[in-house]
Formats: sequence, structure tokens, C-alpha cells
Amino acid sequence: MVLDTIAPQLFGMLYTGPVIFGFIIGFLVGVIMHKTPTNGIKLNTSSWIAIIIGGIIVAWWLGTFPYYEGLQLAPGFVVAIIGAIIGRGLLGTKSNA
Amino acid sequence: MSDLLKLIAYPLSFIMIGYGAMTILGGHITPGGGFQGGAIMASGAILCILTYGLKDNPFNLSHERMSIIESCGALCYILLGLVGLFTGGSFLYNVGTNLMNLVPAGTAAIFNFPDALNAGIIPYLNITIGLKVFIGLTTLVILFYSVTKFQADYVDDEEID
Repeated sequence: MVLDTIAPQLFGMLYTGPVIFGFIIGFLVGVIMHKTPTNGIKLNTSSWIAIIIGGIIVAWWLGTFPYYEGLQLAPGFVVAIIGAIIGRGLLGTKSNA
Repeated sequence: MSDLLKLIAYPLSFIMIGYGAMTILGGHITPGGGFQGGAIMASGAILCILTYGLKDNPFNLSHERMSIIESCGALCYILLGLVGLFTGGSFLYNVGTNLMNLVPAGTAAIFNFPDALNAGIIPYLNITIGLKVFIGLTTLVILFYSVTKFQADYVDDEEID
């Protein structure tokens, strides 16, 4: 109960719409990716973590877009990147090349 | 393409996908929307196509997967329109906002996009259009890329790939 009252004051309001549907959009795009791309693309776990951290930094620079009184970073941006990575990992195909 | 471009294009495509998704999700209150966000997401795929070529592309550009995503977008758009037709009496009636009080409050709450505004089904329409545009523009570039490979007066494959 205390967290429910304090958290919006500390971090701003987190709306569920962009979080849920940002994840869905990212997931659907991740589904059409290869799980094992060729041509020298080798991304390990630390690479994915670096992409997510980079996404969080860009989201922080973007600010509260598109909601002007909300969390101090764009949640749809970060969640879409995470959704794409998860969609690629779960339902991505193996490359035939 | 250069090794530097090959190194950066694939991770950068994720950032572009996120930016496109954010543009789609803010389409009802900010400049942007389904078409613009879908075009930004497609630019991520196009960057990978131009960098790695069609064969080694990290995107699975099979007809089956792409048609599933595009069909989902078109089908959801029509279903949202039909919900408005059967509940509100007109195709694409905004069931979520329910300005004319034609649908029950429970139905309006289901179709209202959960955010700070009362946008109704507009964000959902943006999402469906975004998915369609993403696949449509990517398909267009694949077709152009495939056709130009057969032209004799085009630059060498080595220069492209």
C-alpha cells in the first residue's frame, strides 16, 4: 500500500497501455527475425544487455514521450525493444543461409 | 558493405523498431501514428536488407511469416470496425470513447486504450496500420532489391553485398 502511494511520486505514473501494446508490437516484429543469423553476426548475452541499456538511455533522453505527465522515460520504446528480443528468442527461426 | 556497417546495423535495427513502436503508441496525441511508426520500423528492416543482402538478412522474410503479420493487422482493423458496426450502428464507431452513449459502459471500458487520455480505439487502429505498413514497405524494398539484381546495367553484386 505504501509503495502504491510513493512509487508514482518518485517515478511518475506508468500507464499500462504503452507497456502492453509496445511489448506486443515488438514481439510481433521479433517473430519475423532469425534466431541464428549468419554473415558474421554474433551477439551474445552481453550484447543484448548492451542493446537494452542503450535503449533505456535513448528512452531517458526522449523523456516522457508521448505522455507529458508520466514516467521520466518513454516506456513503449524500452518495452518494444525487450519484446523484439524475446519474440526473436522464442519464435525466431533458424537461418537457412 | 563495410564490416563496421555490418557490426552496427543489426543492433541499430532494434533501436529503430523501438522508436517506431513508440511513434505508433503516441499517434493519437502527437505527430506520427500508424503509417509513420510502421515506416520507421520498416527502415530498421530495410537497413538490414541493404547491409547484409537478402540471403544473409537477419529478418525472416518468408512469405508465410510476413503474410501472417500483415493479415493480423488487416483483420484486427476490420474486427474493430465491425465491433463499432454491431454495437454502435456505424462502421469504425469509436466504442472506447462512446461519445453518443450507444454502447454499455462495460463494453466501452474494454475497448478504451488504457492511458491518461480517453482515446478509445484510435491507438488500436494505429497499431494495426503500423503492422501493415511495416510489412508492406519491407515487401516493397524486397521486390525492388530482387528486381534490380537481374538488371544487367546495375552495379556489381560485390559492391552491394
